[in-house]
Amino acid sequence: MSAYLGEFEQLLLLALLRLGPGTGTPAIRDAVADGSRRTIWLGAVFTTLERLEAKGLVASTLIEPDGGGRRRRTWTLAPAGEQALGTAYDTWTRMTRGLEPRLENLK
Amino acid sequence: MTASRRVPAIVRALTALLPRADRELLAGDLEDAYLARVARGHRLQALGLFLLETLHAAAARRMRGPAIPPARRQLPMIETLTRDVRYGLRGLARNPGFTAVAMLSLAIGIGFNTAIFTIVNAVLLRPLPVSGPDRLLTIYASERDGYRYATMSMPDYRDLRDRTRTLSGLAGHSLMFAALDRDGSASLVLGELVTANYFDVIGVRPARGAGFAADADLPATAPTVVISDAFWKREFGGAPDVLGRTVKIRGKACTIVGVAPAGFHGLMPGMVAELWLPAGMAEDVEPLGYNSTTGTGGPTRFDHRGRRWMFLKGRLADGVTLEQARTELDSIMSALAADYPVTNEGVHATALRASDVRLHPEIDATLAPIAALLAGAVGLVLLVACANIANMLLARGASRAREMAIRVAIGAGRARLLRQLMAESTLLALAGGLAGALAAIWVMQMPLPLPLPLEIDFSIDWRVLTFAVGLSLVTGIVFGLLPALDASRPSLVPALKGDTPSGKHARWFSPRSLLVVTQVAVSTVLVVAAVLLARSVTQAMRTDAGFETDGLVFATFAPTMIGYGDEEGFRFYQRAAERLREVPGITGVSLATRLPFAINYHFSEFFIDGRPDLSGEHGLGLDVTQVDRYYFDTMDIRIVEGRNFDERDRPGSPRVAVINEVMARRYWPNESAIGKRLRMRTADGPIVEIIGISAAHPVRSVGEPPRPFVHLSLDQQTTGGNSLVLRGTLPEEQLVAAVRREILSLEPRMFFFELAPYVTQIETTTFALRAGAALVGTVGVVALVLAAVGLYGVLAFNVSRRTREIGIRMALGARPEGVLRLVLGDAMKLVGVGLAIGFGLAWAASGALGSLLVGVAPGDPLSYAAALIVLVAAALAAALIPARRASHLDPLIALRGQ
Repeated sequence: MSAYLGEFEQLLLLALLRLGPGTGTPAIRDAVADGSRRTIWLGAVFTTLERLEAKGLVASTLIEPDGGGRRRRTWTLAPAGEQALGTAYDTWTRMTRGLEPRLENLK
Repeated sequence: MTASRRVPAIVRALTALLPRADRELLAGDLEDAYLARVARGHRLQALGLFLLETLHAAAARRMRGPAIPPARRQLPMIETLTRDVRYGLRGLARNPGFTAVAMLSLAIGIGFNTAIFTIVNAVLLRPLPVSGPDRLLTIYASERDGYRYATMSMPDYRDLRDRTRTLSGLAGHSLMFAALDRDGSASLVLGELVTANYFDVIGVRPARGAGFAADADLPATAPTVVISDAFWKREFGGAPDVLGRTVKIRGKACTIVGVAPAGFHGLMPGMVAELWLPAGMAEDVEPLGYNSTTGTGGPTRFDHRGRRWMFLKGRLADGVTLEQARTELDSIMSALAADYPVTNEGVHATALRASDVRLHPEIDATLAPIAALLAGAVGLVLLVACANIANMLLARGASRAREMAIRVAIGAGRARLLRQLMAESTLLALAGGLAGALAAIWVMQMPLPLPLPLEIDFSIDWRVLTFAVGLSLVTGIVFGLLPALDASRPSLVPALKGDTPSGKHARWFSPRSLLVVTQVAVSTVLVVAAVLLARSVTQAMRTDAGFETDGLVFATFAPTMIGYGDEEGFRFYQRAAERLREVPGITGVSLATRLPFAINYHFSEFFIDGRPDLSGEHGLGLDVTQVDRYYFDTMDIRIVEGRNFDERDRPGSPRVAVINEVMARRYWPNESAIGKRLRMRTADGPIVEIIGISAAHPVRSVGEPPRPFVHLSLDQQTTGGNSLVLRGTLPEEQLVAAVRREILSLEPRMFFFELAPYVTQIETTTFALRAGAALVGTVGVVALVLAAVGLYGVLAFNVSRRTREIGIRMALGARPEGVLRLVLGDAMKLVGVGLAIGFGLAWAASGALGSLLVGVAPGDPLSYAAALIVLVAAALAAALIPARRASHLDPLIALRGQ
């Protein structure tokens, strides 16, 4: 039984799946903002990613920059996160089966 | 090239707002985002967005913390409510002392109000237990002297019932006492004497049985009875075969033909009727209430048109208006007046909707202001209790400022804090209200100390419960709102640091002080009223009855109710008196129809013979009694002129009277009244000669204005005499026991309406005064205690707030007495303002007590002085504890802070 995902969490995980392991927070934010056509606050992204990390769905790594300066945090989709995304997609497809034409009309 | 170098220093400085713990990581990401935008060429936009995002991230991190999922930040309504309630319960449980005192205050306030409301509900609010009360009329006889709400006679009832076309049914009823025979001894039962169609007309179907047969009104019919549900369960154990069994009343076996539905107690609100007898039994019971007799006619209540004893209820026929019914009833009464001028001339009918009458139109008019007075007194207690709790909550709010500040800092909105605090005070109010209401209900179910076997129905219904719960809720909101508003607005920084803002709260005049002033003022009003009433009671008790009441005992019993005829009953009284005269230790025994202070305001019309100028057209309505020749000696009332009744006065001899001094002086101011003649009832009625003048004494109640009183000779009568009074050298209890013993040995079935020391007779007349004094006194003491607690609370709080200041004063050389004076001075400023306002209000309101006061002026200075002493003493007692604590502070500890 995989974790239930909120919509924003799904969007973050999808962005991470798309961008691959080791992605920085601003890149994830940009991907979600582009895909959802919404303004996404970095603060919200940090907070949500941390919560997903606490649930074991993503993992973070601290990167020491070569030339000194601030450390960066990068994110990687954990196996549990992939499974949760798979479940969510599965649910979505089952719930939308046969509805595609109508959903197309609703756009 | 590092990122940090390319971010303007001023922008980077903003990242200092981020929480220290993860500042570095967040700042890195924020800066990256900024740089990415700059790289796309939106330099200005990048700077603006960086600013906003940094602020947002800082706020999100600091305020919400990472733990609260955004999707769940808005809790559903119900969940919020349960949380608030749970939080409130925890808060109350954390401070059991506070909770107990607050609940007690509220329980007292709400308990008093519920008790009074229970009475008001039983008497004034509860609807008549009939179906369709708005189509039911109450019909009174209006008498020739202008009195509009009198009873009707049975013959008049029969004529109205048979002639009316506007009423579909007309029934008569009267409360009565019936003597119930139980295993050879008799006891009184309250019931209603009703016409056979009573249950049909009021629309109440007996739960069992068919009720009265149509001919049950006729005296010749075999006696039947309908019993109440309670009577059925008590006397017959709820036996299902109760119909057809009998109840013995005045020696007659009455067949049970019905059991009234549970909860039906007859038509007199508050009174619990236990059985219903048909009008055919009118001579076997004692109808209560307004009985009057005019003219002559048949000998019984059943066929004497001038003997009025029943109230009428009529059901309006379909499509008929009240006005049409009134017109028709008037025309029938006019026809009766023409046919029977002796009894009915000038007698009309007054019809009112039954739903517009509670007890009786005249009584209703006097009840409303009494109810208002009671409600006002207990409302003031609740006000004081509320002020107390508001005060305690304010103090508690101040001591919880830190908790509130923390909650605000971690993101609680003010609305949410308010809701939580209100939930707490509402819980407190409901709990206190529940305790108070339960106590009130318990007290109200206790039997009343009434002289007669009356049961008053103070049962609890939804109105009482709604009142108690509603009052609790309103109270919770009223006393909770101000403290909640205050507490939900903490000044964050000092509160978090644990400082107490001394400037704002240490002033001696604050919202808290205002509440104390209100409490003191309200208590002052109640204490002044209580003292005035208490002094009235002592005055009334001290007021001379006009004769010596020590060693005097009176008794009333009713031989006619256990089967004696009128003359037989009178002879029984005479035999009892003879027998008691033989008892050693009894020095005098006398019979009378009415004793001073008895609630028997019998009066009769007299005409002064040959002086129409004094008598007027309708004669003088004078208080009258009939007494035997032993009366004045037994009562120790002096004959000041002329002679007492003696053996010359016997049936058939010329009628004689002894009048009191008041009457003699009023009508014959310049001559002797001896030998003057009165005529009874009409200007040419029977002659009565005045043979003696007795010393004046109050007749109806102590403290009344001088009242003329006529004593007729009972020795000239063959009936009457329903009171026995005796004097002895034995203690009163032994006299009472002797009367009981001797009379029961003459007639074991006899029972006593009254048998008590004479002083109880006087106490009965001051019942309203004493009950009022007891109630207002209790209320006053409670309010005073509550106010003292409130004053203590405020002072204790202020002292704890000023610990540091007092410490400095003492370190600088202030002496303990000086500190004591300082704190007491603050207290007395509050008390002084409250007292001034309270005495002003009391002075203005004392007029309302005027009619209750005996021998004490509403502005009685002694009462005000006494109240002042009590109030100041209570205030000093309340202030002394915190003042002493302040003066015994160790400056070192005080200066070190909390």
